[in-house]
Amino acid sequence: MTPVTVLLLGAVGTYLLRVTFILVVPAHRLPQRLRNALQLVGPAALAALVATDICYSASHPSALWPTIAAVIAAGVVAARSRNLGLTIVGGLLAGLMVTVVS
Amino acid sequence: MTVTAKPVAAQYDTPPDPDDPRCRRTSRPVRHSVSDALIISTGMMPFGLVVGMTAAAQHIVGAGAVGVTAFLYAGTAEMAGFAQLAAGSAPAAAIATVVIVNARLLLYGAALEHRFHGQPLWFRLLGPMLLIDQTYASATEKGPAQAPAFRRYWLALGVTLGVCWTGSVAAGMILGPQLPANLPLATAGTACLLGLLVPRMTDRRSLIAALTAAAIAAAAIALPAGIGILLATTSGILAGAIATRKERS
Repeated sequence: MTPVTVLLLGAVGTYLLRVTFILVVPAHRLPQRLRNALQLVGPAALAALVATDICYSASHPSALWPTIAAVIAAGVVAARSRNLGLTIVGGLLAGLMVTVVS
Repeated sequence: MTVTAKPVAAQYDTPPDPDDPRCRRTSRPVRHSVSDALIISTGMMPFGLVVGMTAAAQHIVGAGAVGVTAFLYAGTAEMAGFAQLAAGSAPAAAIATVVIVNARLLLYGAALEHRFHGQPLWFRLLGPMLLIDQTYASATEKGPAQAPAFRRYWLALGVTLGVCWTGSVAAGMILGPQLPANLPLATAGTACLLGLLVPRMTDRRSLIAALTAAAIAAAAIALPAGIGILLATTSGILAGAIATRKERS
């Protein structure tokens, strides 16, 4: 099986995940309590992804400090400005600066 | 602290609140959507370059590779698939890894279902193909309340980001050998996720959900790719839900 075929089958599986609660088992049939809890998917999933990125960089010494610098800078900019574009640029610039200096 | 968030069903059933910023976006949803997508893409495209460079290093290039990147539309899962293939894993293991890494999309689908409910069948079939972290976060925060406007917003957002994403992966495949290997391009993706997270931490229960999820994700980093994120997300949701119940009782 070629790598492209492997990724294609992975994409088909991913599509099924995406549509399961939209087409197959519509989420509006779930209990109200569960649907209320789903409002927390965003903060929980995004925080888990950020924490995973930080921990993953810890296992790659060259990536650790740029990632930490990017997270601190992005966190400060996001909290102060609430502007996504500035947050991304701030994080990327902080990561680049630490890479250049180190 | 009083919990002010409306239940999902109430958001869907009640008439739109004219003071809600999502209502003001009902006019010109495509314009707002493309504007949002172009901002978000500045965080996604550097990571797309990294994905393309990794693919090129494994000789996974060409129209087929770009096409499957667009269909998969999930960079972390694609990278996990590359890692499995490079390690010589069986195809079934690599496919399972890609699907497991994306397992959180199941929760995103459930959380967004009320926005797809009542939409035309073609949209309910094709729209979920555009479901990623960034489209989920942007649509729940800024997506218009009315169904037709939401449909236009979602399609323009997902397609614009998809074009930027696929283009950056293709550029990484072509330019990969010319770019310095130590560029911290992936930090842009992390900053993007943080930029989407911070505005959501508006009340105690979302703060508890986020902090719990982050702690569990850090503790579960040794678990297979995707499992830790799914475990952390569900733990965070559970912790936030318990906090809500305690506040009410």
